[in-house]
Amino acid sequence: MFRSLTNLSKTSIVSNTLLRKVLTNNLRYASTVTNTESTPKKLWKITLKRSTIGLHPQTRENARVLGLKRCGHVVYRPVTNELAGIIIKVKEIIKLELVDRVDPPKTGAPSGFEVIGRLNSRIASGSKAAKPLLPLRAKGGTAIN
Amino acid sequence: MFGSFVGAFKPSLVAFGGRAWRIPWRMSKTRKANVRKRLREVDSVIDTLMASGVQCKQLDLIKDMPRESEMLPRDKYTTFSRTAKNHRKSVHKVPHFTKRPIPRTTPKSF
Repeated sequence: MFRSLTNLSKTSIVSNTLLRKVLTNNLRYASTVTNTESTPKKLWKITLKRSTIGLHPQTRENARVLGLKRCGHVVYRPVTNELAGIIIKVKEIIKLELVDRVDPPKTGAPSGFEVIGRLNSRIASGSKAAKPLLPLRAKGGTAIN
Repeated sequence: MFGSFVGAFKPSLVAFGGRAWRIPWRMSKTRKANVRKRLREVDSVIDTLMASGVQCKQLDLIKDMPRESEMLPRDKYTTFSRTAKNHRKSVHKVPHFTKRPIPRTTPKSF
C-alpha cells in the first residue's frame, strides 16, 4: 500500500543513524583539519581500485590497516609519515588524492512514495471477510475515495 | 578460434602443454596499453605522496624510479627472470602482474 507524495522535497527516507555512522568513521581521522586557506591539505582520500586477492599476506594486511575493506571502498586518512610507508606498499592497487575535508555521504533521491501499511499483515490474520482497504489519502490528509 | 578442438568434452592438445587455452608468448597492443596505463596510475600515486610533503625511507627509494614515459619498452613489457632464456620473460607470465609491484629497472646487463 503506497501513498504517492506530491511534494517530494520534504521527504527524505535516509536513516539518520546510517549517516552518523559513515561520517564519524571518517571524521575521527579528520578532527584536526581546519578549513583555512593557509594550511596545507591534511587528508588522503584512498580508494581501493583492485582487490587484494592473490597478493602477499603483508600487502593484504597493509590494505586492512588503512581501513580498506572491499573493492571501491573509499577511506580518508591523515597525512603522516607512517601511513605514507603503508600506502607505498599498496600503491599498485589504490587511487590516492590529497583533499581538505571528507566528502559527505551521498543521500539517495526521495523515492516518491511512503509505505503506510502492509498487505501481508491483513492476509495473515486469516479472516475471509472482506476488510475495507485503507482509504487512499493524498498528502495533507484529504481522502480521495 | 579455439572452438573446434577445445571444449568441455574434448581432451586438451598435447602441444598446449595440457592447458585448455594457449598462453601467447607476447602481449597484444591493448594489453600493452593497459600496462602503460597502470604504470601511469602508480606514477600519479607517487606524485601525490611527494606533493603531500611526507618524509619516508621507502619514498626516498622509489621517487628516483623512472616514470612510464622514461622507461624502455623492454622494461615495461618484460621482466628479469632467473630461469627463462636470456633471463627475460614477458611480464604477463608473472602471476597477478596487474596488481603486483614489478621492478621498473632490471639488474645490470640483464
